[in-house]
Amino acid sequence: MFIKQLKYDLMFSRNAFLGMGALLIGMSIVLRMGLLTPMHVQSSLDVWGFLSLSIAVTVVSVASVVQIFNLYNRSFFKNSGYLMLTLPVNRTRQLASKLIVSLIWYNFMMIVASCMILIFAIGTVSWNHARNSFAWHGGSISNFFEGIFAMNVIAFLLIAIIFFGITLANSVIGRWHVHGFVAGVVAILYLILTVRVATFLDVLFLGMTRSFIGTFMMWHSSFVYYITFLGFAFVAVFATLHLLKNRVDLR
Amino acid sequence: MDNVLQIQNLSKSYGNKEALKDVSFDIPGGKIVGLLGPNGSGKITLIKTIMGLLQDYSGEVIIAGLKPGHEANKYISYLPDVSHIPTWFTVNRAIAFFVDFYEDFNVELTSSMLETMKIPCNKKIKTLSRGMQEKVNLSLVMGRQAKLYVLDEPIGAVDPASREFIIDTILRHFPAGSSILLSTHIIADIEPILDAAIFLKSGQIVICDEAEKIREERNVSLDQLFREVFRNVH
Repeated sequence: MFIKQLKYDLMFSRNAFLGMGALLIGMSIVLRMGLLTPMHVQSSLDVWGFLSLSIAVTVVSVASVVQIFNLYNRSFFKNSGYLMLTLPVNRTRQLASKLIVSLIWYNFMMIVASCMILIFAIGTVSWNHARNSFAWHGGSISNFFEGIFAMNVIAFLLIAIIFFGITLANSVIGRWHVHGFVAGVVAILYLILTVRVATFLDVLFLGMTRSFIGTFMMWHSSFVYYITFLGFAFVAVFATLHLLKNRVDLR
Repeated sequence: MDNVLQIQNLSKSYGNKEALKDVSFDIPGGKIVGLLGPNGSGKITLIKTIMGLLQDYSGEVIIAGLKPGHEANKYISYLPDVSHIPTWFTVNRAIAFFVDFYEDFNVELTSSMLETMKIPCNKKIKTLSRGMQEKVNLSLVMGRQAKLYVLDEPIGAVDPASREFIIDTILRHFPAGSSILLSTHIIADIEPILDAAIFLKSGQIVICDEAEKIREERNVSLDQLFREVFRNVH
């Protein structure tokens, strides 16, 4: 049943993400062709390389968040909610399915972003420049995969908080239907808290390492951030699950 | 016959507002029960509770021996009063969806219902008229061999000619031993098929009895009685 749930969640969101990916790549090609005029070719190679990276990441990130928001919100809290929430599938599996599908689409959109960068990079920036754009800290394969992992940890945290915020906005706490604005503020505060806690723990552990082990040991800040982000993400997932099982009220 | 649905002392509040107050009734197998009441009487709250869409209530709700939730949903076929099937589905895709999720779904039965209604199965649901969409939804819901059918306003959005057809579809296709809880405002059309009726007013049951008995004792039709009971309720 879980596989079927995954299949339909992918299907529910397929057209939106594939369409958006095709549109973004198409726009990049058109824009890139427009840049291939003699005036631009030589004068602004590095500027366009950097700009393309910024544009691609920003556009794709915003578009992904919007689509993931829609996938979850429409599926559970619009008319389709009367179908999805009355299926003989438990809420834990339904939520897990939506988390997995959102991560799949997020990675798909990152591939789209990479393609957009490539399109901009071809002919405007050097091969080394382009390669460095796809790799982290110098271009080794392990660093590349660490970068992918880091992006997925951050994406998982964001998706978990988005799901939590949407579910809260459709819940009844005490006597009140939670207002969407309030739910949004709570979600943003939770995100800020997560980052602050991660920073605090990083500084704390850095100090402890220096005291007990010595300054010669290299401290991996990223490890603290991964653990903290994943911890807060799972707390958000469990809170979402609690709301889904006990507090949600379709309007 | 065992009870398909048992509700005991069910109460549900939204803060100070009591949506359901001490509601109790049973539905045995093989019955069609009308859930009748004006807007705001608690019908939707009651249906949502049965379907596991609302929690945080007091009292007991038992469906085929199970509490509301995903396990109980295996035995309940639910038609909400909104178009719940994604409208970008083709009718065939919607059938495949029901096949995937409901073990009791009968494809042949549904296909024959759709064929009788002359509904093109290769078309997207959103391209069909509202009445046709209602018929598709009803065909899918009645295509299941469930123990309890919960139908919320199944004839609300269709023309009088189609109503007769839909009522006939409901009557012909619900399995022996199963029951239907049917919520509607349009009582005159469904009155002939009701075995029992529950009148809900401000979250409380004011009448709950067999339809024939109500008519005999009060010497009025359910439709007339509804108008009398709810005349001053807005």
